[in-house]
Amino acid sequence: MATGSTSTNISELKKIKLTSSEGTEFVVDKDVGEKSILLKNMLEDVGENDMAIPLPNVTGPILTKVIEYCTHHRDDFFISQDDDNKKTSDDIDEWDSEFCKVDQGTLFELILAANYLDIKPLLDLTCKTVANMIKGKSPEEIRKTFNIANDFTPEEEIQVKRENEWCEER
Amino acid sequence: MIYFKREPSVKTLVISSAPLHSLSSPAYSPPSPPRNSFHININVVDIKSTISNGKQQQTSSEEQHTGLLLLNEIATTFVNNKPDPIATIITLPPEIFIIICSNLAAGDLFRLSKVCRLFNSYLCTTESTSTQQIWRAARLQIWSWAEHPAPDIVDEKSFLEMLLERRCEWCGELHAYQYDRRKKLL
Repeated sequence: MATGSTSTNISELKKIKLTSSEGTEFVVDKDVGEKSILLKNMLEDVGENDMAIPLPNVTGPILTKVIEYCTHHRDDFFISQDDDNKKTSDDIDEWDSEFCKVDQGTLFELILAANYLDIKPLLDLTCKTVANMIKGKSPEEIRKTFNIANDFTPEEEIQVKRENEWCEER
Repeated sequence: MIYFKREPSVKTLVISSAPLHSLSSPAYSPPSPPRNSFHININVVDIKSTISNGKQQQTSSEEQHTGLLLLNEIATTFVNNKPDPIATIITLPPEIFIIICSNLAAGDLFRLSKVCRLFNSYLCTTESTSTQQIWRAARLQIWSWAEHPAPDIVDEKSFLEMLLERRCEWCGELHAYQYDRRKKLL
């Protein structure tokens, strides 16, 4: 399928094509796309290629968000994993927290996309956002927040409730 | 890197995990018959060698054969993994749950384990190493110097409970020191 144009002379501003699950094509700058380790490795393996990279697990709206994130952070040097002191969930910068103000469905889709595309900072950010939604809440409040059904049997519930009761009285 | 094209739609599937050399390895099992449940007709369009060795190999029939096999595998997982219409916290895979937990303090984890059966199983399975890691991480958040593992007789969760739950020195009541990332002690 490498029948496309061979305009690789202007190779510095390379673009890559991505196809979302619905088949919509997205054209992004190569450096933006390479924030995704999955895409980066793919591109390294495949070399020069005009083919669109299909992302069957990512829908168009989610891919749009992901590209928005990667574009905003295109010049950031992404710190590699195992950086323990980045673990606090309070240090989300303004743009990032604004970025995460989406409905829950979108947020979880973003987590899945970040996981699939291997974009560690986005995965950390979205997981932190979810963690912040859990923090300081009682089990009942957590259920309400995430619309989780309480599926304990009455006996189990009593037992579970009795375990470290101290953590519920805040 | 292998490209496959689904026909007649323009969508394509890509497999990235399989290193190219694995294609030519004879370790593949004989081809399985095409799955009836899969309506899309799949054809291998192009198999490319990595650029690094300079030349592009011709697509040999053997490669096509193994490629199809792989594709069958991937296509099935693709169909099976088709995300639910709405992703929820319950449908997130466990590895993501672990990342979320790594951002939570001990008290949050205890409360989370009381939310539903799934979370309870994630957080209260003493045999699971991931569970132990979650609790260990929560303990290290409070006592970063206590890097030694929990004593053999208790699991990490009980160990943390033991550390957190103690009698008040003043009134003799059973209290718990509650810890928080920001204030350490609440």
